Amino acid sequence: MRKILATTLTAFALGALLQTAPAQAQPDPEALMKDAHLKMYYAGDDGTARVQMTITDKKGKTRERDFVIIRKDFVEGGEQKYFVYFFEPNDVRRTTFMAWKNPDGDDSRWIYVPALDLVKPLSANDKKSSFVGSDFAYEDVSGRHWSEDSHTFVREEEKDGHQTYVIESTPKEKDYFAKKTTWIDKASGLILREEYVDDKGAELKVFESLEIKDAAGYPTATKRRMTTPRKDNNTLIVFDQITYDQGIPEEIFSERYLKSPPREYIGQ
Amino acid sequence: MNKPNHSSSSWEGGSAVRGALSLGVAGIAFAALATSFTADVATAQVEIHGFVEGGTGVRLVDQPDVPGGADRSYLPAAWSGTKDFTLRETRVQLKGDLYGDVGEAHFVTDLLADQAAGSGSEIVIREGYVKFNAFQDKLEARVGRQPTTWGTGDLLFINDLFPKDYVSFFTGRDDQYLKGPSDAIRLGVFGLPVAVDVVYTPEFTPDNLPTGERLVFWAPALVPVSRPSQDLENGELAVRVSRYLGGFNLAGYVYRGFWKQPNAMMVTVEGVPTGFYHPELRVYGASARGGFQGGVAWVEGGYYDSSEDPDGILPTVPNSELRAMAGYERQWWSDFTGGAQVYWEGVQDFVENPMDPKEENRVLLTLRLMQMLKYQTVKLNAFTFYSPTDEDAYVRLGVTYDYTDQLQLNVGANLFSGSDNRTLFGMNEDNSNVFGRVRFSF
Repeated sequence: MRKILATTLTAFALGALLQTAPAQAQPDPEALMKDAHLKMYYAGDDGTARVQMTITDKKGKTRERDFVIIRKDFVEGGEQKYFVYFFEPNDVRRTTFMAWKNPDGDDSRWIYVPALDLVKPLSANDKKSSFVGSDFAYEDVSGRHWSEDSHTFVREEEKDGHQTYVIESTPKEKDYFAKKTTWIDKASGLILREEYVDDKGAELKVFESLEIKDAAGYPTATKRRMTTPRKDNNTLIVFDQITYDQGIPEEIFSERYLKSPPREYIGQ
Repeated sequence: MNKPNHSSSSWEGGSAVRGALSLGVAGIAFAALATSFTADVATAQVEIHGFVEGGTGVRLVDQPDVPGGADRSYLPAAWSGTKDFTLRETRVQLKGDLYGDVGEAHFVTDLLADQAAGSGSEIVIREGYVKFNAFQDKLEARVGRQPTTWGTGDLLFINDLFPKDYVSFFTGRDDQYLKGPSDAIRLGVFGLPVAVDVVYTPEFTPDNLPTGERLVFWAPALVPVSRPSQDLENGELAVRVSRYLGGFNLAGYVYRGFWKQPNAMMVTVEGVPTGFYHPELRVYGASARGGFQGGVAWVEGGYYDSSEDPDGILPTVPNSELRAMAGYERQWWSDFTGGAQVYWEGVQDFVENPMDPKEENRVLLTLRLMQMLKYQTVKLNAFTFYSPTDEDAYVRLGVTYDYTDQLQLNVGANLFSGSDNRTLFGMNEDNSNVFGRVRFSF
C-alpha cells in the first residue's frame, strides 16, 4: 500500500513537474522505438534463459512449454541467431529449434526431431505463424523491427504504475494489423504494453510486460503475456536463470549442435 | 521409397540378436559413464520419460484375395496373420537420458504387445547409445543402437540408406517408426572446412518390408531370403561431407554395403530360383538444400552402382541406377505448408523383361499438404505419392489432435491404388487401411 502511495505521489510530482516545465521538444518516436527494441530483444551480446510458457484457452485449459532459449547478436538491431531446446511437453523433449534472423529477408529456421534423427529446414516466409502453438508469433519472439512501421509520438502517461511514452505505429506496407500502440516504460526503456488493432479498431492482440527486473545488469521483462482477445486465448512466458554476455560461440548455432545440444548452455 | 522385393525374415526376427549386440556395446559404454558418475555423482542426471499408446488399424478390403485367387497371387505360406487388422497393439515406450561429465547416454525401449502379427509380445530396443566428444570437441562419437537420417527428401530417400520400416509406415504407426535403428558407430569430425560424418554398421541392416504377416504382398514364388553373412567385410559404411555455402547446405555422400531390399535371385545352374538375397551396392551422391523464394528447395541425386553386375548383364541381379529428385516446400499462409517433389529412377543398361514389371524409368510425384488449427493442437496432413510410370498411388491422410499436453489422438488412413499388383503401391492395394491411436505421454 505504501509503495503504491509512494509511486502515485511520485507520479503526481512528475506530472506536476512536467506541467510546470517549459514546453519541451517532443521525444523522437523512432528513436524511442528503436531503443526499446534493442533493450527488449538485443540486450547484451548474447543471452540465455529458461522459459516457462503457459497457454490458456477460452475454457481455461492450459498447456505448458518448458524450454531454454539461447540468443547471439551479430548486428545490433539486425542479424541474430536463436537456439531453443525443449524440455516439455514430453513428446517433444530433446527437440531443438534454430533460427537465423535476417531482418532484410526471410529468416532461416530448422527443427531437429531426435526420434528420427531428422534435421528439417522450415520455410520461414511467414513471420506471423504461431511459435509452438502460442499467442506469440515468430515475429513477437524476436521482435517486430521498428523500421517496418511509421511512428508518431502521442503522449506521456502513467500506465500500470509506470511512467510511459505512448507511441502509435502504422505499418509502412500493408500488414495484418492497421495500428499498434506502444507504451514504453521510461525507467527501463522496455516495452510495457503493445496493442495491435485492425482497420476497424478491433483489438487483434495485446502484449504486456508484467514484471520488469534487473537481470545480470540488464533491465529485463521477465514475465510477458500475449493475449488474443477475439479468441480469448493468452500465453504467459516467465524467464528464469537469465544470463547475458557469456561469450556464446557462433558455432553453437549449427546443425552439429542442433543434433547435439550444448549442455553447458542448456543447464538443467 | 525404394521399390521393395520381399523378405521372409523380418526385422523383428533379427532384433534379438542385434538387441543383444547393442546391449553389449551400450552396456560397456554405460559402464564407462558410470565410472565417471562415481567420480562425481552429483553431476549425473537421469531422466525417464515415455508414453503409453494403443493403436488399432483395419483393412478397408473386406477379405484380401487369398492365395491362388484369380487376380493376385500372394506368398501362400506367409499369409498367416490376422486378416482384418493391420494394426492392433499396445505400446509402452520408455526413454532415458543420462548426462555425465564425459558424455551422455540415451536409450529408448518399446514394450510391445502386438496382436496384429504373430510375434505377440516383444521388447524392441530402439535406441541405446553413448555419445562423447574427443580432441577438443573436434570429434563426436555415438556408439550403439541409434537412428540416422540424412539427405534432403520428404519421405523419399536417395543417399539415406539407413534402415526403414515400411511395415510401420504403411500401417499408421507414428512417423518415428519409419526409421529403423542401426547398431552403429557414428563419428562426426568438425573444425574442417567441411563437416564429415561416418557411420559404420558392422552388421548389415535391411529395410523392414511386408512379409505377409500383417500386410499382403506380391511374390513370384515362395523362396527364402538370405542376408549377407556376419563377416566384418559385410558391414555398411556411409559417409557424408557437408557444409553451408550461401544459405545452402551442400553435401556429398558415399555408401558401401548392400541393396536394402533382397532384390537379387539365387538360382541353380539349371536356372531354378532358390532364394532372394541382398546384392552388393555402392552409392555416390550429392545434394543441395536451402531457402528459395520464401520456401525451402532441394535437389539430390545418386548413382546406385550395383557392383555385382556393373554392366547389367546378369538377369538375376539388379542393374545400376541413376536416381534424382527435386522438391520445394513453403508456408503458403499461416500454419499451412504445402510441398511437392519429383523423383526419378533410371535403370542403366536396361533390357525389357516380360517377367519383370520394372521399366527403364520410374517417376514418382509427391504432394504434401499440412494445415494446423486451433493453436496447432490440430494437425491435418495429406501426403500423396503418385507414379505416372507405375500407374499407382499411395495417399496418407492423418489428423492429430493434442487434447492436452499428455493426451494425443490420431486417426488416419493409408490408401493404395494401382492396376498392376507387382508395383510398389499396386501390390499394397489390399493393405489399404484406416487406423486410430491414443497416446499418453509422461
